[in-house]
Amino acid sequence: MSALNLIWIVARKEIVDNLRDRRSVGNALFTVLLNPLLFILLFGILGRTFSEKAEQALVLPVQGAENAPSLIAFLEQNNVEIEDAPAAAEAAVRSGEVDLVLIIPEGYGEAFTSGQPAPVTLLVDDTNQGASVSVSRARRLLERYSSQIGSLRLLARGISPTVVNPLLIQEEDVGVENEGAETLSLLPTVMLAAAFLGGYYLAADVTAGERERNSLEPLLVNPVPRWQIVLGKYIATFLFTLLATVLATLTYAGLLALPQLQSLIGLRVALSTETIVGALLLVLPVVFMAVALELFIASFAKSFKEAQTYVTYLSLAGFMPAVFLSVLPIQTQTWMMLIPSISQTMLLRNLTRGEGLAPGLVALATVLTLAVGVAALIATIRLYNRERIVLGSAS
Amino acid sequence: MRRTMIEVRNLSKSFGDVHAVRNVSFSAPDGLITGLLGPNGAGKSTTMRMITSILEPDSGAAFVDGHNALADPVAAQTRLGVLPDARGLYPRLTARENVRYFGRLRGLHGPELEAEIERLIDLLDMKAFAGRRTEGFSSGQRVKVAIARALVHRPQNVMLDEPTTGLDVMSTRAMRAFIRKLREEGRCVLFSSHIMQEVAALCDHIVIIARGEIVARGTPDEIRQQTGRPDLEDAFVDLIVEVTGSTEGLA
Repeated sequence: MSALNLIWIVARKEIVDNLRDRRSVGNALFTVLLNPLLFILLFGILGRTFSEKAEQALVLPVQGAENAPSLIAFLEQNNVEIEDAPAAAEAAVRSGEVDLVLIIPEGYGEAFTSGQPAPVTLLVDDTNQGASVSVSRARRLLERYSSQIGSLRLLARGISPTVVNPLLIQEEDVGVENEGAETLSLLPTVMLAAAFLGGYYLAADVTAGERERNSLEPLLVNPVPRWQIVLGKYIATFLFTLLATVLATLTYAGLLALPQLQSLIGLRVALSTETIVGALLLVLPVVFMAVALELFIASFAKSFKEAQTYVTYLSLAGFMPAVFLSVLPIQTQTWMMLIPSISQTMLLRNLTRGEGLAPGLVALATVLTLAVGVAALIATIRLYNRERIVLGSAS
Repeated sequence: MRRTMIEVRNLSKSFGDVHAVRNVSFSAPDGLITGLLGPNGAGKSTTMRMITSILEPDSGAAFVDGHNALADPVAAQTRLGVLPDARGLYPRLTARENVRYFGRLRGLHGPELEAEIERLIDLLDMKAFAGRRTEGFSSGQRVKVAIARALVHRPQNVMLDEPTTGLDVMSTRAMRAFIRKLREEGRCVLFSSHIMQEVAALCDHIVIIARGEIVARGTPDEIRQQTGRPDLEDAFVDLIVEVTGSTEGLA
């Protein structure tokens, strides 16, 4: 009887046994498949709430609005709410009572009609961070008005306005504030949550559960080396966890492609097949490690319930870094590659942003993660070779 | 002289301050039923667990067909069929699947395994429930499945830890008949019990154990002679009271 044969006999029995546990399988899959939807809705709607601030009408206190009716009309067309400026405009800006004030002097109309630069003043307080969005919006609108009028004047004189635009400046926002990137970097959270939660109930069931049901001792009196029994249990748990991870990733990608969801969260992104495959390969070592750690910890527990509690804590510890790192704009650094699951979070983030992956960092993260998994697996086998595995934690 | 098939020599085992087994030696030969008799907590299960390589003796050794249970567990376990004190089944597998799993772990497969499973189902009168999941089985049904999976590889040496516990009268009678059948087949049977009548009714050789130590051994007649009591039950109670000072743990 070869070792591989025996390992597979154990693994196959655990797989069949688990598949018949409809409720646990159903619960686990439900959680794993629901997570992507929850994450997208949560972060998507949060993200939209932030971006909506920019879409709100800009409230602009104006002094001397009557001096420039056409400028005011232009601003109003562009989603600006004009209101009267407070009497002590400068003080009001300095105190932060208003974000900014536009002052249009009496000489504006005269200068404008004579083709001279017409003076307007924006009262701002540079130290007021909260006002910066409003200020830059107001400045952009004024510049746009200025350049529109300038173009019209050139056209009136028979000159193409492009002559005075030697540069065509295009701005594309690709930073972390980009909404698409924000949601895309949810991928690490989705995948690591599945890697750590996808098979935890099974890890508890095949170890502490088997002992609690009093079937461990009968199993261990069979002439099968303990390491083969542990590996069989490991393989069954690994396969289920892997399945859960693949399903969660595909669900996430599928949800992102839904038009209804895209319009709900107000962005349009898609994961390419290459990205999905690459992401799964990056996460594979995490699945390997997570299952080994879960089996090890669950083997210590006195009861199935206790095992589930321990393994749940482990799972949270495993994927919570991904949640935080997905939201926080932290740059990838080499030391992060030393910590399994954090390293994969950063690598996945790089991958989804199309930043390219440094092979050295990928190798480092993969090797370290696999090493932790192997160590946990060896520790589990050692535990199974001791008599306390049958006695419980009693001695 | 028959060749000894299960043998323990100077076996001792402590859990913390509790000396569960102290310097126990006995042997169980082929073709005989050897009974390990003692009150609850006397060390019967601990002794058996050292023979099945589940526990490590502090000193001494256990042998199955000459293979040291500690040094070469796989060889010893291969020659042994065990109904341990813990007899949990897999509730989501059927009775037949429970037996089949252990058969496979013993290296059996295909028609040979299936034939053996059906033979045991027949022998243990399990037909009515063999195809059902074991969840909700009665204790009698459970013991039958546990015995079938322990014997699916037709072991020469059979060890049964309190096989009649929790069984009704009919099942107990069937179990005794089954154990006698194992003897007729020439196997070595070691079984433990805390019930004197049961041991007296079945065993060719009795080892009485109390507080982890052997207090008497021999055929039923020899034990009657040793204690000067014509009734085995009285002899047993006398021996236990002598050692432990009470009748605690006696059924």
